[in-house]
Amino acid sequence: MMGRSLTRSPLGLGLLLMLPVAAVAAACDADPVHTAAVKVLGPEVQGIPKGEYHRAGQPCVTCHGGEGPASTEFTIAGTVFYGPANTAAPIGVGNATVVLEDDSQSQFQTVTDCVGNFFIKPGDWPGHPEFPVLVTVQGQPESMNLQVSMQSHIGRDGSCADCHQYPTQLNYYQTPGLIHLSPADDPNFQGTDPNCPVDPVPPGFGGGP
Amino acid sequence: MPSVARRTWLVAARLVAVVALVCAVTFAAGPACDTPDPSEITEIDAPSYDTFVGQNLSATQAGVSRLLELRCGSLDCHGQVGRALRIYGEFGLRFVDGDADNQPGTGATTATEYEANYQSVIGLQPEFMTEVYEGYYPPEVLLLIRKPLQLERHKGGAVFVSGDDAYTCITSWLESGGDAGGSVDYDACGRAALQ
Repeated sequence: MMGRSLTRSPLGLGLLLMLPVAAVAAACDADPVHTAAVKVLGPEVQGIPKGEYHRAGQPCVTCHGGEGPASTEFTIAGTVFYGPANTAAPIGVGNATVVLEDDSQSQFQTVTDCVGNFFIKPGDWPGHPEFPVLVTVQGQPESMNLQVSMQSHIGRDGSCADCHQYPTQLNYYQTPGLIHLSPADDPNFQGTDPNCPVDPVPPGFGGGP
Repeated sequence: MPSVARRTWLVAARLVAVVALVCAVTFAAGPACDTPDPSEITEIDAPSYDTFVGQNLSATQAGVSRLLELRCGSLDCHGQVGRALRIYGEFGLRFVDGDADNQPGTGATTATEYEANYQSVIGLQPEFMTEVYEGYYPPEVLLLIRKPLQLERHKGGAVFVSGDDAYTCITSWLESGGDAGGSVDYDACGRAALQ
């Protein structure tokens, strides 16, 4: 009786047709690993709108790598911090120059914004990078010329923060720590731009919320 | 009466279904619970650990491990816990053994890490490794060579080409045994590691 009434009423028939559609939609989560990687990054932080200043220190290309959910695509992106984050509050450095050289010896450079974020879109460096890529970061966060080069190369990952994570007891063996310009933290350094619309100490690291 | 017969038939059908299900589960679980035969061991005849690491090398020379650490073992490639051909090293993934809790970029590659790298390499295709080392097959049958040459799909792309220093370094090590009995070209390893 129940089955017969379901198929006879338009609503019931509609519900029955929705079932396979829903099942197919659920099965079409093309890359559950990517979905999980996006989910683990959590929601946007209140007070920091989506845009160039958001999610400092997070692996940018997870969302900006063409699989979404972000619509803007980056080939390489990351965040430059002042020190190695021995303090609980790593602070981003603006106006730092990130110089990249790829396998074809093509060079490209970009500059960080006031929270330390930088990003390269496919059109910025057309046809590049060809991995592996060598990277040097330089800047004058406290009127001192600081420069640091990566000891190894980037093999293939466009998200700097996939490797450059905030170091903890759980991950120290697989991360060199955050990208940092200075070999030591300076508690007096308060960021490069007092007018930065966003606090250059990103939330979520160390003592952050 | 027809309803009694129908009920009896249903009970019998259910019984048969349950028995079939139990048999199917038992049949499936049997092979799964079969323990491996400890006498079935694949012995690997491979180039030596000492030549993999390299002993008493000059500043311009390097061992095979050093080359793999620098060219393959970055943290976003084979320097990851979940990766096949896992490579540890000074500038990549560190082996957590309690004695040297190093971070990437700090502290030289440890003996434990060299040993782990050696096992990664010779254990990738143990049977083929033996055949290559004994001279029955060319190095190109190994994924260790096929992938970086892109004879097979390699997510990291082409890492070396046939005949260059990296290729010469690894193949000289692979062919350093058997009847051919060559020696490892540590100079080529050194040049390739510095590139």
